[in-house]
Amino acid sequence: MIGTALAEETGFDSLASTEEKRWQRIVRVPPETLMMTEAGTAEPRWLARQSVAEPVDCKLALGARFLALQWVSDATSWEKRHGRHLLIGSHFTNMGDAASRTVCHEESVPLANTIDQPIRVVDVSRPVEAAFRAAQYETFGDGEESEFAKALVLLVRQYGSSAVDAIRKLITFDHLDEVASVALRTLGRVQHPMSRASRLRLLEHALTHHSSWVRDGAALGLASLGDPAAIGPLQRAVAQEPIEELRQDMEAVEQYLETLG
Amino acid sequence: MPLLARGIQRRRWDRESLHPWLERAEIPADPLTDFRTQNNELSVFIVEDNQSNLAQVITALAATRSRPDKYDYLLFEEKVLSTVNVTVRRTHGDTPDNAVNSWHLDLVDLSGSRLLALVTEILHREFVTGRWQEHMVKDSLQKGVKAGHLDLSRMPRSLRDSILSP
Repeated sequence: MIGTALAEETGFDSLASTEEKRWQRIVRVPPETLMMTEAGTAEPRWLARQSVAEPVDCKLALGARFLALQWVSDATSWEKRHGRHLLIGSHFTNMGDAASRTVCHEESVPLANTIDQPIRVVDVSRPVEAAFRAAQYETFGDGEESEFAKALVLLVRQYGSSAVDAIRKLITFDHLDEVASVALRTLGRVQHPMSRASRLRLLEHALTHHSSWVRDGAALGLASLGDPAAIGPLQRAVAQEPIEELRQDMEAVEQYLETLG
Repeated sequence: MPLLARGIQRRRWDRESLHPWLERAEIPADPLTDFRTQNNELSVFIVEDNQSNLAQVITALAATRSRPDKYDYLLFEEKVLSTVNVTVRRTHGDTPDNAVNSWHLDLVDLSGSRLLALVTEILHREFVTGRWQEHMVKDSLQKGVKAGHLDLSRMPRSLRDSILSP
């Protein structure tokens, strides 16, 4: 068993006893994953030793210091119950943060799509970061579709909530306020129902950002998203907003959302 | 005294966000971005002092874009121009609304120092910024087309498709 081999290699000796708790998620791992893992770092060599001709269903264990896979014999029934699909990324840099770095794509998808759909294994944070880097040299204008916005739309449509999460990290720590603002406005406009909840959460969260550009982008994104659920967070943001003009703009969004409710 | 209108990014003009590191009488650099010249000229539109034609101006300007989007604008007094010796030329605007085109001015022969003086003067005087949200812009564009103010054939196709869709 792969899981047993891993337990021995990582010293995670409680794996067997906690299996029911730890084996929480299911993944379909295409052969490329194993090959790309081998090309990454030597640390998770046990994965590289495995070689499969066809995609396989695996259980995924997310521990504090490791990531493990185990073949699943009854994947279909498990998948039907949970309706969950995870992709494993190829970006293994060390085992310490394997859980956060390797699970690069997580998406609820219709079950009908989970069986035969080809899976691309991509660390979504890389293309998102590349889009943000390129955006530094772009001039943005209202009413014009920027290359940056086009790239984000494609990434969200392709990777859903994982792309949103990667964008969130960059907006939180990035200092390019106008780029972040455009990103948030774009997130509000994307037509992608499956990531809608995560986009709404990010936009609401960004209403309290230290940058007025980011707060503005969040409010505009919420207007485009058109979800009255954002009225409460907007009201709180208005109450805290120190810039009068931005406060007016947020109130206008709030009033617009009220008309939708 | 009439006002002059120009599209901007409103966040660049927020008074409360003026930076503490600015020396007395200095202005932040970002608002200059909204005064990007072409051939040393700058395009503005005349707005009545009671702003009765403001909506028509904004709608016409929004009709030159590729898609409906929020519109941020700046209004400042025309007399600012004479204070900083800016030469004005009345020219026909290039929007899909002929009436609005007749309210167009080009500020010409703008040197770098004169442009800086103009923006400095605006920032140190009374000015107004405002925003039309995207849904307001879309609604106004549809009404402008219906009322015959806007010439559909002179609007970008993507915008036309967008405002004609339900």
